[in-house]
Order: sequence, then structure tokens, then C-alpha cells
Amino acid sequence: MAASFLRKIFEQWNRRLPTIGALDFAFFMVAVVSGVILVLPYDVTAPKDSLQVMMLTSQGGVFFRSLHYWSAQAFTVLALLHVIEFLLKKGEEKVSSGLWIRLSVGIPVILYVMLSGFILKGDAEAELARQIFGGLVEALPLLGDYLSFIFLGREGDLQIVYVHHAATATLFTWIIIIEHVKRFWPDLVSHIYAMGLSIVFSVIIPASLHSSGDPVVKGPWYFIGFQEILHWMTRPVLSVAVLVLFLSVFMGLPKINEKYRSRVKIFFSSMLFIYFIFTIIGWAFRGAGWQFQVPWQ
Amino acid sequence: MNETETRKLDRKSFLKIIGGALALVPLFLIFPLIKKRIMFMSKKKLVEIPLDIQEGITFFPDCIVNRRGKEVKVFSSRCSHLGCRINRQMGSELVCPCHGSRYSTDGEILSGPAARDLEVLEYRADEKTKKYIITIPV
Repeated sequence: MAASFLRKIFEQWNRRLPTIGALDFAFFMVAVVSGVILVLPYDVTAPKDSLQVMMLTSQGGVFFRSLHYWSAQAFTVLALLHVIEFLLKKGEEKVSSGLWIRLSVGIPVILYVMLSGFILKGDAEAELARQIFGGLVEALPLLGDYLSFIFLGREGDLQIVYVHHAATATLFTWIIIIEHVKRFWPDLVSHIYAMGLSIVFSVIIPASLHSSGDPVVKGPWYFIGFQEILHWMTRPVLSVAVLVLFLSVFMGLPKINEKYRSRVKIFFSSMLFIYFIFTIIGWAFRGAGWQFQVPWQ
Repeated sequence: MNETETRKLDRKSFLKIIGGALALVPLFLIFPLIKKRIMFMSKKKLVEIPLDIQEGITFFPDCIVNRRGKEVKVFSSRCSHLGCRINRQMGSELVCPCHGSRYSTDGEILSGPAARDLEVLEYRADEKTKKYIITIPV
């Protein structure tokens, strides 16, 4: 019932507006172009300072950083919606097995692009996110230290994260999108929507840095739920094992018998819903020092 | 079509296998490079702090110092759960900002998710320079 309701919503959306996938691609391009502009004033050896100087001394700096921020947020949200829409349409049956695997890998890559961008802010929240994921990857047996270095570099050195954010992971995402949609650029109408919405949000709510006087430090919104889960896990490495297992099952989805596949999809939807609940708990009811607080405090 | 024909390796599959195998070669070359880079960046660090450090808890980027009169305790600021830097005291507790593990001011675990105490660090007092020299492990 929920599936048919969602299917109807997606159908209505795609009939009246540019499709979710096309809009998502357009937001991605806005994020890429605004990101290229930000490369010029950004200094990887003094990330927070360079961003502060840029935002305090230039209206253009505030605008382009906000444009990058909002287009990237929209890209993430729409990517998630597009995955749900794709699964509802049984899209896994319509693509080759190789492309399905690459699309599946694209999900953690998108999250990595987002996380690396968050870390590059260089403020207290960014440092917290880097420490959590650095610690999590380092805890992996055998290859943990290598993987942590490859994806996150060393503590206090953002060079590797910067290169991956600006080049490696972004290029990978772009290539996957091109292979998926079979075109290099988004269509003009989607581009106008994406650009217009990003500009409106950038002007109304400019992206800010975490204030050093604010005792409440949280990760990015899409990982707040994960942070809550880790709060309950004495052995955090198990969370990585579970995520790898989920991703493996997701990759193998087209190979699963159709009778069981819908059950697997229901399971994934339930997990997503539970994750959403954890996100709300972490976002609304977690105060400084992990004390309970109500949202209006 | 008989069984021998279906098992026959075509040119495309052959090239795919060879391509995949060749892709592994750079991995073998890259790993020693990464290992050397990690070793270069992961050296033991010595931190110096003044001998007349204030009473109570003082946070440094790599360590936490608890001074009570002449007694000085030094422990790592890395939480034993996921290695986050502890930089906050709430009442008589040290709280990890990442997942809320709580420790006493002596570095003993009070509540999880961390399961172990904070690592106690070795230090020596250098009367010449009037500093404590603390060894920070890798």
C-alpha cells in the first residue's frame, strides 16, 4: 500500500516537473561548477581560516559556497529518492548486472563525496566527522589503517580528502551518472530548476560554519542517525560489517528470485525508516555532551 | 550446440580476464608506497608542557593532564571507542563529543559505548627545561 502510494507520488512528480533523476543530475552539475569556483579561494592547509576569510570579505564567496552547499544537499536527497523510485519501478531488472553493481557502489561514493565536503570545512563539526570515520575505518581488521589513509589521510592533513572530493570521487560519480542516463549534461529545463532553487536557498539561508562557542557539535544530517547507532555499539566495527553486508545484498538484488526480492526491498525500506527515526532523535533530542534536550531548548 | 562449444572462451571474455588481472598489478605497486607514507607520517610524538601546569584538568590536542597537588596523571585524549579527541569536561566527567562515552577525571570509564579506560601515557619531568615531556604513541 505504501509502495503504491509512493509510486503515485513519483508519477505525479515526473508528470508535472522534470523527473527526479534529471533534476538530480542538474543539481550535481551545479554542485560541480560551484565547487570548481570554490577551489580558487580555498586553502587546504588552513581550511576554516580560508573559508572564513572568503565569507567575511566577499559576497561572492558567501554566494558560491551556499550554492555549492545547497545544490549538494539537494543532490543527496534526490539521489535517495531516485533510488527508491528506481526500486519501485523494478529498475534493477532493466540495467545490465555490471551497471547495477556500479550504481550500487555509487551510493557509498555519493555519501563519501558529501562527507569529504563536510570534513573540508575544517570546523569543530568537520573534525568530529573526520575522527568518527577515521576511527571506524582504522578499526577494520588487516586493511583498516591503509583504507583510512587512502580515503581520509592522516589527522590534521586534509590533502587526500581534498583530492578525492574535488577529483576522484566526483569524477567517479559523474561517470556513473553518464553511464546511467546516457548523456553528458542535464537537460536545460532541469538545469533551470536546479539553478533557480539553489540560488533561492543560497540567498535565503546562506551556508555557515560551526560557531566555536556552540557546545553542541553534530555530524552532517545524513550521518546523525549513524552516530546515534554508534552510540549504542561497544564494537563499532560491527556497524561496518553490517553496512558491507547490506551493500552486498543490494548489489546482488537482480540475482535474487523475484518472490524473495520484494521482501528484501521491504526490509531495506524498514531499515531506511528506522534510520530516519534515529536521525530525528539525534537531530532533535541530543544536546551538548550527549545530554537529552528538547528541540525548542 | 554441444558442451565443448559453450565452454569455449571468446575473445571479449579473454580480454576482460586479462584486463582484470592487469588491473591488480598497480595495486601491488601502490601498497608498499602507501605503507612507507603511513610509516613516515606515523612517528611517536613528544609533547612538552610546563611543570607548573594548573591544578585540575587541562586539555591538550593529544593528551589530558590531571594535576592534583604534586600528583600528575597524563592520559591520551583519544576515546577508547573510536579514537575521537575528548576536549570537554562536564562536572566531574570527561565526555567524548562523538558518541557520549563518559570517563572520570582519572581516565576511568564510567559509561559507554566505550568499554576501556583512557590510555595512560608515559612522561618524565625535565628540570632543565622546566617541562614535562610526554610520549604520544602512534
